[in-house]
Amino acid sequence: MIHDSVIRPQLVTGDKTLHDVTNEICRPIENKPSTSWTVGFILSLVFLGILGLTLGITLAYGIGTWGLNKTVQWGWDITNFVFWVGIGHAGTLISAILLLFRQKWRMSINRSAEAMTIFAVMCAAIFPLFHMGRIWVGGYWVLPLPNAFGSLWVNFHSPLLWDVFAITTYFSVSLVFWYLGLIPDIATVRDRAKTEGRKFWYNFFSMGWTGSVRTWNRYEVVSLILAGISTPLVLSVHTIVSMDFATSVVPGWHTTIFPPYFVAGAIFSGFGMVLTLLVIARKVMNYQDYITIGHLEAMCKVVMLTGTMVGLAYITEFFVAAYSGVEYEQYAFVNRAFGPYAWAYWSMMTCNLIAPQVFWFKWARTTPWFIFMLSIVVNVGMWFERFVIIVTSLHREYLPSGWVMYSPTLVEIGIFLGTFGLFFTCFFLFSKFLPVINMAEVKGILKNRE
Amino acid sequence: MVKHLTKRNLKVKAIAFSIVSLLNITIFSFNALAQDKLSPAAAEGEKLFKANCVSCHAMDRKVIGPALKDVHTRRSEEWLVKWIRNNEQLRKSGDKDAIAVFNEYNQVAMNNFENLSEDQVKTLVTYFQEYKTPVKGPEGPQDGAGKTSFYSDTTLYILLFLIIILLVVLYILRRTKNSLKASYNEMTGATEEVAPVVVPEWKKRINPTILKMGIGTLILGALVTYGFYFGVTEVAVQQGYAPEQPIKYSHKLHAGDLKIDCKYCHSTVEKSKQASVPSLNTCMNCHKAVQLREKYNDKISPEISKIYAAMDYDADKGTYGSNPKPVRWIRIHNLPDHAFFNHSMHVKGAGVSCQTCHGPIQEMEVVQQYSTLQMGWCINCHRERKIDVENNPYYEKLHERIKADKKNNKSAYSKYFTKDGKISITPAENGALECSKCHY
Amino acid sequence: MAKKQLYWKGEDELLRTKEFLASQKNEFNEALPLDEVFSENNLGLSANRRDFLKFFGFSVAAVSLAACNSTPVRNVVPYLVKPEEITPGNANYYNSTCGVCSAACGITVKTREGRPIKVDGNANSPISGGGLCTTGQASILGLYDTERLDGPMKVSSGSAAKSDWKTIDGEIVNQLNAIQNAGGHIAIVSGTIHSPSSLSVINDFKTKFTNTTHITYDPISYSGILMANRDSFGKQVVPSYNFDKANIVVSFAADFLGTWISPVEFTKAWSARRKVEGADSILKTIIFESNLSLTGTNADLRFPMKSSQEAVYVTSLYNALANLAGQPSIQIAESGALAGDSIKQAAKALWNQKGKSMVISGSNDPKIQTVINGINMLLGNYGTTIDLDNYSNQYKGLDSELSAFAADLKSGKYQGVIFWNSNPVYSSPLSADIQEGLKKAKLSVSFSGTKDETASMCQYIAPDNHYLESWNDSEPKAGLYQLTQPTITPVFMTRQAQESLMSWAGVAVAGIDPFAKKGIYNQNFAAAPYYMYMRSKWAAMGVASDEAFNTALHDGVYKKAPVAATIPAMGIILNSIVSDLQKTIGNKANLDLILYQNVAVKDGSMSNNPWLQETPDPISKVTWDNYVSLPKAYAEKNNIKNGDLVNVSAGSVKLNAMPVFVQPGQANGTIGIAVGYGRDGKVGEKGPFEKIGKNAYPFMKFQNGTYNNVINGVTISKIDGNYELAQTQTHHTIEGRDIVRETTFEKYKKNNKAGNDKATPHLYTLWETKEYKKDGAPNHHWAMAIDLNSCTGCSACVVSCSIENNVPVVGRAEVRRRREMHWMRIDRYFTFENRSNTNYSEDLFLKRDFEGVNVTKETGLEALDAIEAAKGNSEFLHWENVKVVHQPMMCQHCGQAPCETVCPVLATTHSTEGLNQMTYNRCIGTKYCANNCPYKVRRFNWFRYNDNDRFDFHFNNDLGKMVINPDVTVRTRGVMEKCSMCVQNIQAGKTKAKREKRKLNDGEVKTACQRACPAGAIVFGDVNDPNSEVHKLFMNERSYRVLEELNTQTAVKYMVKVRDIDNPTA
Repeated sequence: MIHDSVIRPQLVTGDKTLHDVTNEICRPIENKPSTSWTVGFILSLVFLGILGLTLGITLAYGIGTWGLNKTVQWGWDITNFVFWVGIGHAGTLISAILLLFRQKWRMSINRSAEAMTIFAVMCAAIFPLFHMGRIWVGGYWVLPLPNAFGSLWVNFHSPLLWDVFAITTYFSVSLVFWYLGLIPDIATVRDRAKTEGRKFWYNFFSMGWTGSVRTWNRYEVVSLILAGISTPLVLSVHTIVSMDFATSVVPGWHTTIFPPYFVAGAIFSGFGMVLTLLVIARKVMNYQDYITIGHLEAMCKVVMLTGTMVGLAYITEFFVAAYSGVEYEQYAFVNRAFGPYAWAYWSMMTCNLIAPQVFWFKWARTTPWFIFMLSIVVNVGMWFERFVIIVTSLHREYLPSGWVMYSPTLVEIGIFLGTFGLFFTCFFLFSKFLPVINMAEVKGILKNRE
Repeated sequence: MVKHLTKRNLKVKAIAFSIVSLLNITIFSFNALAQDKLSPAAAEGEKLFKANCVSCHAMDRKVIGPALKDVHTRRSEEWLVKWIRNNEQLRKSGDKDAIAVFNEYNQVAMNNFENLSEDQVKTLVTYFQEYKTPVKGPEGPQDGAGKTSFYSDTTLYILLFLIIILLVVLYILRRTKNSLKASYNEMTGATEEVAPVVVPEWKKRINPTILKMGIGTLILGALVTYGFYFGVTEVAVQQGYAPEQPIKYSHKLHAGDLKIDCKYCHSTVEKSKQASVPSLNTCMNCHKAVQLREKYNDKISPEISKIYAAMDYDADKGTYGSNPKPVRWIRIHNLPDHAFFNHSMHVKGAGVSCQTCHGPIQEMEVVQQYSTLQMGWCINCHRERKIDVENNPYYEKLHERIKADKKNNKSAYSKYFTKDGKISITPAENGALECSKCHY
Repeated sequence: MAKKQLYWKGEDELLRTKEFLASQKNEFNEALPLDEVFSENNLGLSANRRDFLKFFGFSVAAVSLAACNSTPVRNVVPYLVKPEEITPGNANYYNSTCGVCSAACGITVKTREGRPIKVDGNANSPISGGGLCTTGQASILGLYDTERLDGPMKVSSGSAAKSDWKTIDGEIVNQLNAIQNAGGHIAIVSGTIHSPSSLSVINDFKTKFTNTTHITYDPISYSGILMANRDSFGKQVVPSYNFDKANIVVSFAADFLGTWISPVEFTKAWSARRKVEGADSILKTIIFESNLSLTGTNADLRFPMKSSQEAVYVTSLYNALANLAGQPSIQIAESGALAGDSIKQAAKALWNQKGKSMVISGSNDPKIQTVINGINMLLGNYGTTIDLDNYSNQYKGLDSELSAFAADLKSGKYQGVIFWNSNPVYSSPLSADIQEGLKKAKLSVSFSGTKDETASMCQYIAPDNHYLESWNDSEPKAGLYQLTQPTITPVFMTRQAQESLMSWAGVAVAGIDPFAKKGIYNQNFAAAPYYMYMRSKWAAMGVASDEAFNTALHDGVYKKAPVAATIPAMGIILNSIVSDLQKTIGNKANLDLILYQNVAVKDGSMSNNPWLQETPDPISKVTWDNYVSLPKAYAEKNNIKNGDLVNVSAGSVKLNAMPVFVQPGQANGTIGIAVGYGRDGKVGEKGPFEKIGKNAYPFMKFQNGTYNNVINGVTISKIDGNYELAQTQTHHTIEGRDIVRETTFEKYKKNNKAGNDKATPHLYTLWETKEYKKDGAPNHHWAMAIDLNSCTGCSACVVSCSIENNVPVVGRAEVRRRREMHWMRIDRYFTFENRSNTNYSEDLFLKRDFEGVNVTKETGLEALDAIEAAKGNSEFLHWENVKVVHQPMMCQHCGQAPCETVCPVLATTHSTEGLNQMTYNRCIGTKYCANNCPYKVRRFNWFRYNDNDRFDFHFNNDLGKMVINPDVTVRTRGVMEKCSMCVQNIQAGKTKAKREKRKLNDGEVKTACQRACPAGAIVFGDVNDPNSEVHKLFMNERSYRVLEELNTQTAVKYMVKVRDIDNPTA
């Protein structure tokens, strides 16, 4: 089942044999960790420590340790939440949608992209959990469980509740999808395993994969089904996240274009992060042959497209506000662009709308170090987008008597940095113990398979 | 009185275990019949009796004053009226019976009840006449102790433990048997030909890893479910909590046998959000006289002397000292601080009987928490009871609206009409499930 | 927490034994199991904790389970003998008299199980008229103040040591006798006392110790008025000012709505005359002042005045009127040289209302006050609006007496000094002399309840009871008597000052004790000798029988028929005082310092009260500090910004490192500093004894025989450093938004909908109309109407709300972080008014378009300043001439509440009675509701504010917790809270009605803010009841909803503000 054209460049370069593929991809799993890996891992552990510390402080003393106040009651917490959820998008998009579209170039990157999704969602989940004043009850009161309160249920009107469902569904489906894809490869590792322990664990997680035709057949079917399930999720999750704001009465939040605008933004930031990671990964683990310039270029195009879409949304918002004739709405946006937080607004504009335009040039799309720089810019820009939406809308609302300024405390900053620690810790572990590239599928697109 | 109690008991059961309403109704109707035997006058008298006399008198036994059953046979009505309204005067007037009674009950003067009109006293007398010693009503639920999660759990644990032990023993025995058999074979050299192991078809088809995982998942699920169930039903529920009190006050004796009205001691239950533990001078009202010396070979009963100690009361001199020490009762019904329950609203406003929530208190030697006091339990009652909109002018507007809607058959409120033309609206339907009704 | 309190009835609570206080620790345990489990002192649980640590390790789940399943042992301690008037769980109310200031408002004290928990105005009292000021409201915490002395103190060799009454009585009496025999002099220095009995106690003391002098001294004195009336009419009294009889009042810096003489009484009368419904005139209010005072913010016309020039203003007003009356004018230099034609207008306006007008001055200068008298004579106001016959006793202190006393003390004339309810070491500019003198005195005693500045200089402290523990009577106005009764047995081993004096003077008490045969545990205070003494005095007054006295005690008030007011003759030629007047006129070029009282902290006698400190100043919205309020022009010129530090000095007196607040409305060439700050004592912020603000009393200037609050010729020098003032509101213009609506009186008379005729927007909704909102709904619909026209912004409601609802105090640092917890706030908006434009029309107010510049955006504001600058006009006159609106803002209880839809756990829901219910125990603190609240009235518990040393206020000590309202949950950390419309009172009222099988009457349920409001601006009730007050107001043309276009369908409506500014001269 191989239809590669003569003119198309190879998806996997360097005339690999099946054996090469297995060897090279299993290398990091079977050999001692490289120094670069160790250093990176320790570094991320440090940040993970910061996360523990700052969350500990928050739990011990209360949300008061953050910079929030009577008017701005969501700040960095929700900003970071949306930021991470956004990043969490690309994975499923790549694996699901591109699988449905039979985009073969995805095969060597989808594994890491999905992993990234899962870790990002984990980071994201921290914020809605810990921004609750009473996490010790909030942790389960938001779930519709039977109870002794004469059955007191949750409020199905509340977008926050939709959020709970959306995120959990998204997380579980992505996890299953990812794990399913891993099973054959884990089996491969199991078969090559030397020590007892490795044998046992990889055997356990490969769920007794035999590689028989029947299992392969089932595997194909199930991945297709899962792809089908998760495709709408890609859209739904951020649509619902956007409703956290869109369903409110806050000027600057109360907007109907939020869903598409947020989804675009999510894909944008997601691809940004994927780029960041892959550019590093292919270098560190020299997978240049599997993650080729072609891959990067393809993703750059997506980034440019979504970036422009987001930019369009920014401008549309202003039009809507002006056209609505609602003075509060109008003021909210004037305040965004020219108020005390204008710096945030304009840095968002530069990073998200202007910067990606350089990808019109092939050089920009094909130079890894440049792509890396720009992917960082994109991530920063998208963080600012959320900050602008949340803080600048809240800090000046209807009654001028309540207008205030907001600035984060060290604890908040610590938590944010800490989540990066969590993210990379997971990612390093993943790259050490699991094959970061889907061997089974890549083998399917090799030129010479004999 | 008794009938009331029986009714209450059944009702308690009914509500506590929410028996199907059908059964409920039949029981009530039966009681209703049973109750109709007192004439209205007597019923009136019964009220008065409970309000004024029960602190010193009972119908069937001597308390402080004589037992009043058949008193009408012993004394004439007008004598009774005189005596009850102002016995002092009667004694002064030199009435022999009066003085006799006075002396018989070691000269403890009975209060004068001039506040009662002659007619009222007469109703009282009719009550004495019509009164019959009741047949004991069905027992209230005895499961107080049984209900306590603690005991039941421990027994459960013990059982489990025993079972495990037995299994272990079984296993060991089996092993020993086998090994013995083996060694026996060795010695005798006897060999059993081993039948070829036949793996059944289904076993081949099942992947062992998946099997293990499946079983694991099941066990995990079971544990989680149990934990959750435990959390909902047991955590923070102190049903059956029956601590020992500093003074062994018996509700069974006072409320049950002596039939002292609850409101006599818990006097604020109809005016305040708290039923309030009575102040000790309330006890003294009776126990100044009642010392049960006869029981404790002329010593004051130890429990009663605790009261005296607290009040620093010298029983012999009949004088109070200067350093009383308040009694620190142990609180049984602990509602959380954020739940505001108002006794007066329920007892006076809605006419809920004490037993509805506190159980057959008149049968408890040691008081224990009868209900779960979980929110669901409150809510349940608010869903089941009915508001008496007809007879409480507070609900006048609501009442009229219901009638009006019924007349011009509007849907809004006419739904509160039952088939038999009675108005039936529950507190829940009138907003009694709203948070701020109890939490503020 | 609060609820557990209920079970602490009986003896050991009533007489706060140490064990009781100690045992409290176990009683107040936390709402969230976590804390219960962690807390070491909670023996019941620590065992569990250890087990679980053993078995499960330190995990939240385990810990909370542990906490849950063990039954905590809680005790119920009933009374031994229950006082028959007490029903556990129900409140008792006693009428009494507020003892904070000598204005002596009648109050009603709410007690629970013998514990006072709330103070409100007593409607019977003509002084309070049912309202009460911030300070009075907060005074209840003084009773539970940890700083109070728990017994008499004796200072031996410099260090104060505890003593007992017997000892110090003995020693003091010996000393007194010694002094008496040596022919030495004794001084009793007290604040104004108008209690007949107390005064006669002093007289008895005088008869025993013959050369005793009684010096009356008020930190904020009205000597000027007293002396002026003495000179003019031979009556050394403060007259009664009948605002209700006036049609126009012109005030020269007299803040009669905020702090002047008897603010509650005046607010009541003033607001009554401001009611526009069916009125053909309302009380026009014109004020000339330097600091923007509360009255200034409510005046129809406000003219900035350089106070050192007040004499000029006053005389020129006199002259203007004299011309009209054809009388000789006062010959004084530079008269008439005033900005604008304000005085002429005022004169015209006054003349048109002869006999129905009133001119008052806040100056303490007798000469200026004399001229004021002259003006009122010209206008024939005596006998009508100003009443010298039914005069006021509220202030009787003469500054001259104090200065004489200080001198004599220094010279050693007085060998014995007794300080009663006075603290001159702190509050008098003569502090230094008095301190020096005190060292010389043989005997010095202070009755102060706390170890205040003066007391700590004395040899003996014989602590007086708190007024809620005392018997007393008072005569705030001639013929008006009020009684003070104890509402709790003394918390500490204190003794009433009167009793101390009596015992020292060996006064025997006549009469028998009516409480003598009261149960076996006689209430200690019942047999109080001073009570008996008082009874005998009242008997002499004609109130002998228990019945008669108890009626008076029950009402709290006893009136004698008022005397017919006469018109006095002016016994002084005004031109004879010109030279003295000239003295008061300062140099125009110099900077004036005007000392003023903050509406909450007032003279500082209660400055350690966290409620008062956290109450934002109604004008600057600054809390927890006093500051230099600077006019914009000066700030610009010297490039000083908000929060800069400056040194202020006037002659020898210096105040270093004062923070600056650039105050719109501050008259150019003047600065203001509030007195009452800089007290010693532990207040608020974590850490040791910390001062709040700085003491400005030393600036007071002696002139014409009185201490004057206007000091001409102060200098300011900016220093390095910066200080952030804790403000609750940091944005001050209304941005031209349709939040406050207002109109003018003329327009209102023409059309009652004037200013409120904005077309109602088209409103669409997803939800169906709630049942209680439909016509003829049988349920209640609780609603509130707030009259912006009556509201003066005095903030009494804010404090009252905090007390009623256990709202925590959070302290300066948290307020800086914009986290104050007040459920009720008063939004204050400034707007600019064009000075050059002389026709004062409503259009100028809230005007978006100002000389072609949009002033509603700050950018516009800067542009406006630029224009002024460009004109070479560095005076920033638009900053000097601001107008102000106050808007009380609390939860609007929206019929369609944005907060309700977004809460994921239904912690905030809607009741069938129109209430927006906040259920703390369900809240998980996502804070979305607060974000989605357009009114920003929701408050989040960022920390645990009780039992937390980082918030060391009354919630952190067992004594302070006595004031907690047991009917309201004390919120824990991490939950949202907000105004509940005092649902606890609603529930109580409904329950009562249901119990008594009757309808709930209108006005039976009142909210805390409503009860407090002296202006009666807040009306609460059932809008579904067509006869209810609130229903009528909702139908009123003036009523509108804030942000109506959001279709939140609020249950709170505001009434359009009406200003009488169309024709200033009418």
